Amino acid sequence: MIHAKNLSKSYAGSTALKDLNLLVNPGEIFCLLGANGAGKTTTINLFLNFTQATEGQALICEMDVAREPLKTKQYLAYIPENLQLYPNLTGLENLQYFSGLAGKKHTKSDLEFLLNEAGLQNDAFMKRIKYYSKGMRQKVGIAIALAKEAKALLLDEPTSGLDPKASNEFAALLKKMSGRGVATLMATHDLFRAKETGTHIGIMKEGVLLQTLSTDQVSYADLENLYLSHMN
Amino acid sequence: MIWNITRKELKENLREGRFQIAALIIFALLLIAVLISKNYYQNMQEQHRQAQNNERNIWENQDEKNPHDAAHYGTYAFKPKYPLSLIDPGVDKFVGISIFLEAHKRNEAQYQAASDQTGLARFGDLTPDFILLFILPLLIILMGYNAFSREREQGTLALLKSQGLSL
Repeated sequence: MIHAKNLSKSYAGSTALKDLNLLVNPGEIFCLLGANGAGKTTTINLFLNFTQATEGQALICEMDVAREPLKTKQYLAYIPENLQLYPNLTGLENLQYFSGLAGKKHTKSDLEFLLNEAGLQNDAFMKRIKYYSKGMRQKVGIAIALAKEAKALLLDEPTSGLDPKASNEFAALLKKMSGRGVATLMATHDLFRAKETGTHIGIMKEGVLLQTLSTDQVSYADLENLYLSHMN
Repeated sequence: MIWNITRKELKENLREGRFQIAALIIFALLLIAVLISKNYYQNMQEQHRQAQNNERNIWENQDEKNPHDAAHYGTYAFKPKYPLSLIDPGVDKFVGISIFLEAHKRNEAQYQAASDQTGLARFGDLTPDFILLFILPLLIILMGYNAFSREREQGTLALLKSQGLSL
């Protein structure tokens, strides 16, 4: 579960995030939409405890990330916009390394199964990451989250720069993880992907969450109009 | 955890061109140093053997005389060379390799090779110990100096931090 309570962040007098209240339950995919500088990445960084909140609380599985930063990270996985892995290691070796750091012990066949689950082709397992496309690296990121058995998934514009096929595959993976009870918070600019993948959508502007809606309640065209009306 | 990190660092470095080239250069230098050392050791052993034989002949071919006089006559003793000096020649170059033994006197070692060399001698010779003591640590520094900053530069630090590691 991902929960923000009156979460605020200010940088030298300017407000990056103001009184954010947000709840993402297990199995839900909450998509944060907004222009650049709306506070989406700040929100993600606050949940990762990469930056400290000025006010309020960021909770992962009911634990405050500021008070228990290491423990909360046992339950969460993070995929940034451009996931960087070790270029001279293979996909399998990267997965082995990161799952080992997270304290998980998996056999080689377990890890291969997870890479398969994440949609990576078998012949790519032993290729070095420097030969991977962005979409393939994102799949390794998902495999890392699967290996970690994460309860919460934080994604910062994970589909930006992906071709439609890779983006579609990535969305399918998110839905698969959601089906396993993972709570997902995704910052994105992609309205279409948010509508198709998400269970909930939040529109942010200048650090404020203006509106929250369920994706069932709105069509893509309405969502686009609503988004543009907020941005204008 | 430590084993996991060690294994990853080893794999990464072994596959990196910078490390491979540096390791190749050091290995070649080490090989050359061993060959030079072996040659030098064999020459020195031969010179020692000849000098010792000569001194023994001189000592044994003295005229008949009082033992005390013979002690004053004196002889040279040579510091033996051991096979380990193939790796590390030690301080022979600076303290000398032979001592003139004679009665009532405590002579210092003679024939320090360094005294016949220029100031450049202080930078050392190309010996295996020089490679292991000076060049190999440089390789370690070369490989390790950016262990942390590299994580930041290549963008893996955020993912590492999100694994729940204390930095």
